[in-house]
Amino acid sequence: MWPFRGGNANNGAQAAAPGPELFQDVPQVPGTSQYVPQSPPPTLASSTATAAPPAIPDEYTLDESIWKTIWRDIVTIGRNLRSVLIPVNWKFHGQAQALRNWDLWGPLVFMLVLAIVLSLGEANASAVFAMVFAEVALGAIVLTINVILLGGELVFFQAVCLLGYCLFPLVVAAIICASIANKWIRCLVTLGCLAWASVATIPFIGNAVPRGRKMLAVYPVMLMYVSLAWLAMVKT
Amino acid sequence: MQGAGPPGGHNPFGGPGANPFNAYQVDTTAQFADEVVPAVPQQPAGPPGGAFAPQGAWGGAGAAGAWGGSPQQPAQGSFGPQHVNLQFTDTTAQQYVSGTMGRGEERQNLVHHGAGSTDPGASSSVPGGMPFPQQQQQPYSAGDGAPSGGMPGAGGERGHREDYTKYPFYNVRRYREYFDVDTTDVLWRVGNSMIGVFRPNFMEVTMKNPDLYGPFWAATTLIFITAVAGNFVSWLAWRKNNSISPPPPPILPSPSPSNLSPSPSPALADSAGSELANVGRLLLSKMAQDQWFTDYTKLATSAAIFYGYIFIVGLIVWGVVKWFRGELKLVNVFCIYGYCLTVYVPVSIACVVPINWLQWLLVMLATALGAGFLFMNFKNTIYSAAPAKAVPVLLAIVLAHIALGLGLKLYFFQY
Repeated sequence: MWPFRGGNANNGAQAAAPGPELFQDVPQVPGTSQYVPQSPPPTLASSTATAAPPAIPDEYTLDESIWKTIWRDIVTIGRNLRSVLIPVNWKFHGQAQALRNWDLWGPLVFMLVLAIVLSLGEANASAVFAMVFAEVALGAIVLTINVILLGGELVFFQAVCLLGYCLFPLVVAAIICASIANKWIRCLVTLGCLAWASVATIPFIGNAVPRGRKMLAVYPVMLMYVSLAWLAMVKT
Repeated sequence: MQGAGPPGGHNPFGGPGANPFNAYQVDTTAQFADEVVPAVPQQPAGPPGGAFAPQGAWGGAGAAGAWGGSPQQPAQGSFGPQHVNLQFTDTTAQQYVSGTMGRGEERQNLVHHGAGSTDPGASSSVPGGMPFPQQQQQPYSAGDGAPSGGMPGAGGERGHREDYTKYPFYNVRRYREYFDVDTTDVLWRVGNSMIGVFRPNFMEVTMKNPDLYGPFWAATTLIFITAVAGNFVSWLAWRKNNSISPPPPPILPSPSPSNLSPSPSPALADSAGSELANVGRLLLSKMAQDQWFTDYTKLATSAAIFYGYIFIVGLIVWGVVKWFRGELKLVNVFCIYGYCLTVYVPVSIACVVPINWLQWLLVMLATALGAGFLFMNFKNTIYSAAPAKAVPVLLAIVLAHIALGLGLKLYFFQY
């Protein structure tokens, strides 16, 4: 599962002697909203914690049921989605913190759903599907490389993860526009979802690059989102 | 950091005492950069304790090595900015922050982050996955706030520049050299490419710092805009058709581009009665709706034309100049050819208006501007390289651009 999961892949070197961190993204109570995913390292704030960590985690993933494994991924997707798209309540553990635990399942799911929704009922559905999926997948990669080339420091898959999760509002817009015929409602919904996606993306992308280049990094993102929102809006 | 708990926060993997960072001995209550290590090494670790003994030297007294001994030598003089060179280690990517941070700036940063600012991007950068974007002043740090010297579009002239050749060729960061521009630089270049006929200094300004950002995104913008505008026009035509077309039999294949593929359904419907006619009309309207997305070949062709024009024609021009032993970098040629396409962006939007002579006027105006821009900027280079053959070469450049304009008008901006 390496290409799709961020957390555990980092521990490959220590696989022989698994520390407690190996299982850190296993939520102990899956699905409860009280769960704080990843705690930041004590960077600048004060920290007074002193004790030894528990030696052995109670939960192993090797012999668990498949449903449990899938559920854990679903919970991870939901958690990342929440922290990416509702960044307001996350003062210290922001997007980046949640994205430490990046996964590519969520982006894959949203890209597929968006492409399927946009291609439903088309005369040449496969071509639409191919174009939309290629645009979002290649777009995420190209946008990330663009930010890196502009001098920003991003962890590649984190940025791909964030850009993929930010497709969620557009998926919502596409589904709503596919089911509602009133063009004013469609316009409003599309604009709202576009604004939502932008609000979630732009700080991340804009702050990753040096100061004078925010526009250069943000503009291609907006290009992609606006074109996708356009496709969603004109969908019957 | 995996499994570490926030101070007083909720640690899902242990009690309040289960902080594996204990081993670091980081004094996180310190106030200034030379007293605190702003980020602990990002190594998801084995059992805390012995494994971290080397890194334990980062905190506390061992910090002297990391800071170049500056805290120990106050007598050396300046209380001004101290050079801080931090290396963040993450297991997924290497990250560096190198820059000059003064004390006041540092204090501001501390206050800024400590207060838990509401800006999600600003605060989100702290916990360690990302380096500090506010402090990260990578390609040039010293002149970040200072007014840029020289020409506005020159770019990359301020401060020290990172030596990008230290990266291997497969690393994306090596090619930052070609993306070393600011927003103001790009805006200046775009503006200059539109009025290039009258102020032909694009080549001189960008000679030292050509960028590939503009060419790539200009071509990409054009591709998307032509697709969306074509989409929009056929949508308008479809709506007009739908609202105007009278009900049962006379479903005329309208001249609009949305009916490029006349379906056999009208004929079929006429012969088989009104029910079939209804079905046929539904089918036809469905086809007309779906026509919005059928210009995929057009999308691919536009990508081929815009990218190909920059790449292939640029390559040919560069090859010719090299053939005459001229001095010209390939990136400069790509840069100039990419920016000369930007003038088509507003034109392609304006071509939504369905007035043919206006479309011709706009496209030809844009083509003339672009061709003049190319001509004026290549003139000096080519005359100095090949004085005898300069006229045919320049003529070929201009003709190629005019051919591009004609092709765009006849194929793309037709909508």
